[in-house]
Amino acid sequence: MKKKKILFNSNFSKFSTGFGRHARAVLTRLFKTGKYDIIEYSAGPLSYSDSRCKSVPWKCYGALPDNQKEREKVARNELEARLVSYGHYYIDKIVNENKPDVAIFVEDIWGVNGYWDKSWFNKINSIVWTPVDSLPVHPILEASAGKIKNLWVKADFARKALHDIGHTHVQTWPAIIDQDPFFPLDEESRNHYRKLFNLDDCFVVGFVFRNQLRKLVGSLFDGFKKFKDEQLKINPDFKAKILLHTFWDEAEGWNIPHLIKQVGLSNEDVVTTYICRKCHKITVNNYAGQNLECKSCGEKNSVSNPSVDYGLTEGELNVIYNVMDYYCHPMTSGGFEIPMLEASLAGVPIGTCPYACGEIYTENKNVYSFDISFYRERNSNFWKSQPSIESIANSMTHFYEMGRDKRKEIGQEMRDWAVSNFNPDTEVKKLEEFIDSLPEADHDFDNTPNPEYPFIDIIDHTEFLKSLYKNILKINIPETDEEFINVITSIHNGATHEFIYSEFTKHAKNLNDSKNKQDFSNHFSENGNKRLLYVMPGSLGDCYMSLAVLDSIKKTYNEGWDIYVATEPKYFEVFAHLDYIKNTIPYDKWMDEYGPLEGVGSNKGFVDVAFKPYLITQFMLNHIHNGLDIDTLQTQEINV
Amino acid sequence: MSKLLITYANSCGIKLPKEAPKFPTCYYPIPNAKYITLHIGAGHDSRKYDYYQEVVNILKPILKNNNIHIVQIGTNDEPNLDGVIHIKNNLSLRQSAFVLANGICHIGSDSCWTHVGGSMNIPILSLHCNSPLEVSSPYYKDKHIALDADRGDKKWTYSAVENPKTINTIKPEDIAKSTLELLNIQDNIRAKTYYIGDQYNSNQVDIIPDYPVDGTKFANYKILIRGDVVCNYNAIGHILNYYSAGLVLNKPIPADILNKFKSKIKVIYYVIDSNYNKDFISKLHTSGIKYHLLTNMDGDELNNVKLDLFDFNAINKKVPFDKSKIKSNLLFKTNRLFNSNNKFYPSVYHYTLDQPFNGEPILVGNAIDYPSFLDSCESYYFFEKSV
Repeated sequence: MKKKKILFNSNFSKFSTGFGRHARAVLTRLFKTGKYDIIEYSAGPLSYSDSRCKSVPWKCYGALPDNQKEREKVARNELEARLVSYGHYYIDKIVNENKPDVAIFVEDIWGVNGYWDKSWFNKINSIVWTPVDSLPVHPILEASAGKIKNLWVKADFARKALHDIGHTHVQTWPAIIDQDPFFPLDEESRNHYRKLFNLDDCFVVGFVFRNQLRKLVGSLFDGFKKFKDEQLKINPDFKAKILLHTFWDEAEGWNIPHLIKQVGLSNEDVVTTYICRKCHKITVNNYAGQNLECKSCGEKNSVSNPSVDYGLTEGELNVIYNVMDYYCHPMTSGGFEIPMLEASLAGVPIGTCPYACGEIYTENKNVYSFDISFYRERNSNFWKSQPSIESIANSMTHFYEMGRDKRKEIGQEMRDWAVSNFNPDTEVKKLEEFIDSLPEADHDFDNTPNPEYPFIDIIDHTEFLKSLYKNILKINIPETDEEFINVITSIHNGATHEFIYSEFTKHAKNLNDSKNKQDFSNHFSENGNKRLLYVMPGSLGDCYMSLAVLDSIKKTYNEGWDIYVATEPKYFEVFAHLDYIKNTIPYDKWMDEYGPLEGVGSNKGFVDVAFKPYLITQFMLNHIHNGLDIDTLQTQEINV
Repeated sequence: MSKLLITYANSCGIKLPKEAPKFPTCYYPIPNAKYITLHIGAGHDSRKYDYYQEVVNILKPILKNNNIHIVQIGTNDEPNLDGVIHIKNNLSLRQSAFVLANGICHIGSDSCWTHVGGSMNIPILSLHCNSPLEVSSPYYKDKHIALDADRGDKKWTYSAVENPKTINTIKPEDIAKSTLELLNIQDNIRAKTYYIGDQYNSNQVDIIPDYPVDGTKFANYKILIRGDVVCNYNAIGHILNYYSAGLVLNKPIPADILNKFKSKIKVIYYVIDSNYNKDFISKLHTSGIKYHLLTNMDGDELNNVKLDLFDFNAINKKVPFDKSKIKSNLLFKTNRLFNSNNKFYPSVYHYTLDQPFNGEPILVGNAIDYPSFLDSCESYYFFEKSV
């Protein structure tokens, strides 16, 4: 039996991001079935042919251009760079070359924006599996939900919200992670690590997170301060610490040292995980910056907080969870928040906000649900939650006062709940069944209109019209579409089938003509001559002056050369009378670059010579000189 | 440079003078004999030719017969070639120009001294690679030969870094022949390069750990301990006592060796087959020692191993040397030697047959059919026998 090809687009499955671990859990299981050919398309920092792609047992491509110059060009535009890193640069190539039967896009919705309008999207059983972290539903998701047949969200609050606005086909499929590395350590091991990390006599409140503004570190500190002050009144020997497993120095995250000071905590109240890049030694200490000297191996600049590119293994992370007494996750919003699932699996009681994906957890009676209020986020207008300091402090008191035995009991119940509700084997089995139930993919992605389609009359007007759309314009249009209704009405009002057919073929031809114009190589003749392109985007005056230059160019490059001009279309007529100009081409910004036109390395380019005199008169002004420069190259006197 | 200079002039609206501008010089002691200058440096790595030593090896005996020396100019951070006079000890630009001006020919890439030499009417041999000859060759020059890289059907990269470097497609004997042409020396250069491995210049010794090694002998070499050929733990420890080294293994070594010599082991290459030891890989992974996993496995067998070792570093498929690149009747020479029991061998194949290296070129012969020879072929310089 032919194996189904599955294209999976998300973070690289070897990365320890939430998306990456989800990809790993899904792909390793699908691969093991032996039923599928898997093609992984990794969003993020991998280049298309990155050597790391070969480290997985299936076919894999990175999202960034292989060509360094092209990467640099892309990086200059922030928006373009972001889309390219999500995978927009190569997605068409990968789909066209690999012809998958199923494509699964596990990404933020803006990362796959527009894929649903691609000619292949609905022909290859595409699934968009996206996290939603706030309400109302993101405008891109709201606008596209109707176009995505298989739209899955990771938390049920998002499914309900989409159903409420009419998208009842949306389903909830939770995030999936491997559960094996996360489990409660036996007491002896746990005590060993707590002692090793100097936490053996403390009540440890933990938070595992990426330092982003939606993770409410300040609120955690406020609650902890209140909790600690209250406990100290009761017991002056009371000891507690916050353990933050995060990279403190994220550029756009919280200034955590400042928050500690602002709340009135001492540096000793907060500890954090460190890891040595050289000897991999893991320590838990007070924050002291990044790139520190390793006390274990002596290596300088090697010890930092764990980060996305170098961190703990999942087994080591499990130890970090196990040394906690309570896992506290205050957040404004979230799509799934895997650390809460990991803490549950490690048997650590948790507390969080009953909003967005927090609902997944707070539905469990053992999870401490914070009192929250809502506010609208500036710019996005999304609802965000703000837990009360009081309830965060109360949650700490709650878990502290119940004692270790009760926490263990609750932790075990949390683990049982997590194992049964988020079992990766069960979830991927469901996915496997879903994939197997999907219809065969159609790999004819060519939606080029066909004006040559012969006239075949069908008596039924609706069927006739549908046939024209399908075979000439290559569109499957619903009968309820406004355009469809207009055309059918004109037939009812007397337009003949022959007339409608001729209008369709004319329209198809126009569409093809305009598409061909967009294909740059079509601007040039394949007659064996060398090509010279003179680029002058504008203005009218510059184009007029170019006539003199072109006249000389023509005399210099006569035999065996074709001369082309690129300019803004509104200036085409300036050059229209020059019969030696082979073609006038619309100017585009990419022509400013030196590589694409004349070719670099394996890119052969389009022309042999591209003259771009405007670069030093319009972009980098190099012709002014206060009008005092003396030209000895031209013979004509300049009269002012 | 031609185009660059013309562009500068056009931009200023002036015509260039017919006479080259004078580069100021300052006296520096020079050989009391005829000499040519050679500059191996360049602003871009892609313009640095890697086989100048081979050029010198070919030219030196011929030039010696004609009482001509070879002088290497440049900066101190550029490696010294053997068999030449080095005049590059922090010379000022003017002093370097003086040395250049008094030579009878200059060899170099597209770099400053090539252009300055051209303007001094010294015969110039220039090597070009990442941009068109017409753009990069000297504007002012008298006798000039420009050799261009073989890019196949590709265009110029304009890149400061190339991998592989196209400039290395220029054969040493072509540089030598062109030099003699510029000097009007008639000589029949018989050397005919066939293939140069891309690691030919690596200054490496592979120590087969089967004896107590000399603790000073290899201080200036890159050392690779070949635990995949002989895995004697004591000998490995002994070598690591003296040297920092890479280590090739195809089976685990005890954890105490890893721990004891952690700081001396630069990298471990663990060659795995179907009997790999996952616990050992796990130890490597958390040891802090840099490691690579290599294998000859492929297909489903390799994919299943990748799945099993998903948490660890990538498994790289060993790319076998394409033996169609060479022939059995070629000779080869090497800078990489395999050391065992105080003897040196050109490959593991020759070690197995106990055929030590005597410093002379070696016939490929039957070795062409053995992986233990082919594995190190990228470290060799293959050439045809002199006619």
